[in-house]
This record gives sequence, C-alpha cells and structure tokens, in this order.
Amino acid sequence: MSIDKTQAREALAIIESSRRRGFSLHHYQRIAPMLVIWGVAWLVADLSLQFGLATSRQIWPPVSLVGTLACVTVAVLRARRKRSDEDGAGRGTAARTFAVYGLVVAFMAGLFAVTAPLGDRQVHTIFGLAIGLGYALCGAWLGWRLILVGAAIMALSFIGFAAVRDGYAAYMAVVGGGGLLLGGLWLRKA
Amino acid sequence: MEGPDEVIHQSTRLRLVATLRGAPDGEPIEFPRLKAILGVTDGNLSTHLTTLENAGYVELDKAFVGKKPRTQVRLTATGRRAFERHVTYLRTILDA
Repeated sequence: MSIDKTQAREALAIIESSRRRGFSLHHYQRIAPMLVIWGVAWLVADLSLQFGLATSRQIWPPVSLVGTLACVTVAVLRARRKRSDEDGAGRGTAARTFAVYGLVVAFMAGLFAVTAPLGDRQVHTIFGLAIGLGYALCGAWLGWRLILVGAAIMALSFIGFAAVRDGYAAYMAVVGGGGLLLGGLWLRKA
Repeated sequence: MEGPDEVIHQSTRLRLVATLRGAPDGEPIEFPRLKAILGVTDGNLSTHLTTLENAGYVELDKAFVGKKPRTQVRLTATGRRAFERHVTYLRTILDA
C-alpha cells in the first residue's frame, strides 16, 4: 500500500475534522442535560415571579440549590457509568461540579455586592448576560453551537432590558429558561 | 520510515478511530452515537469495529442498562499508539 502526498493531505484533513467533531459532540452530550436543568429552573423561578407567587429572594436560592444538586447528580451518574470499573468514580466529578458552581455563585455575589443597589430588572439582565457569556466562552473551546446559544441569550437579555417593560419576568423566563432548554435539546440532537 | 497502518487507513475506520481519539480522557462512545457521527449503518459499523477489535485497537463493552442493551466503544492503548504512528507517517509523506 502506498500513499501519495494528496492522499496523505486528505487523510490528515479527515482526521482533524473527525477529531474536532468527536470532541465537540462529546462535550455537547455532557453539557446538554445541564442546560435543560437550568432552563427548567429559570422558567420556574421567573414564572413564579411573574405571577407573584414569590419574590426573587424567596425563589432563587432554593431553585439554585436544586439546580446545582441536579447537575451534580447528573455529572456523578455519568462519571460512574463511564468508569464503572474505577473505585470512587464520581467523587472527583462531584467536587469539580460543586467547585464550578461555587465559583459562579461567589462571582455573582461579589458583583452584586459591588454594584448594589440594583433593581430586579438589572439583576435579571446581568444574570442573562453573565450566563450567556459563560456558555459562549465555553463554546470557543468546545463547539460553535454553544457560542450561538450563549450569544442568543446575551442578545435577547439585553433587548429585553432595553425594550420590554411589562411582563419582564415572563420575557426572561421564555428567553433565558426557554433558551437554555431549547439549547440543551439542540445540543443533545447534535 | 514505517509504512501506513492498513487497518486504520480505510476511510470509515480512519474517521472512526479519529472520532474515538477525540473523546477526552479516552472515554468510550456509545454505538448509536458513533453510528450517527459517522453516518453509517449498524452492519457497516459492526464490520469495521470487528476489524479494529481483531487488531486490538478498540474494546467493546456490552452491557444491559435495565432491559436495554448498550455497547460502548473505547480506543485501546494499542489503538492510540497505532493511530499516532499512522498520523506521523502521513505527516512524514507531506514533509518529504
């Protein structure tokens, strides 16, 4: 079997695109359930606000806690399933997932402490922008679909802040929660 | 200079091994995912996996999750080395 330069170049191009695609799809599968979980959490929290069932301070802490626990559970189950032959598989994943969410919470708490006092609309929009930016930045390494999801959430959050007056919580429930939910399903289908 | 790896160089197997190599930490990929990524039929994928398995390049882990069968495919250390050797060989041709 002999391979000339053209065939070698084509083979290397196939290898590169397959590796990149395999890498992206692998991470899409990992991240998709997290997007769905946070999409549902966001929908529940903002619809509760819209219909006056709770205030931000009442609804967001428990919803965030449940969302974080759900994400840790998904990550641990996945780690165990992938490495069922390794003792303690999942403990490292749980610790990493908690650490990431801990850092996000610390960052947001610090940000709001520095910029206080902020109204509900501003807090909401900053959340939308920050979460969108986070996903878009991840997408720079993991795949263009995440960039698109993140950029869409950022843009729609800002548009809502600038243009939507009444029903802002409902708008953010649809844009933020619905956006993450649909984004997660879109990644899962990739 | 070593020659090409004839098991890996076939186009579908080349994509298959490159895709498995793209999974971080050598994590396995499930059979239906591989099938979707490569755009091949069950039978076609099975044939290529058998060839790679016989060469010791991949491991197939078959199990039941509940009542559903699940097959996971992982690149072995031998497969990883063979793939890297093949890539080096292809680059050597371009550099010659």
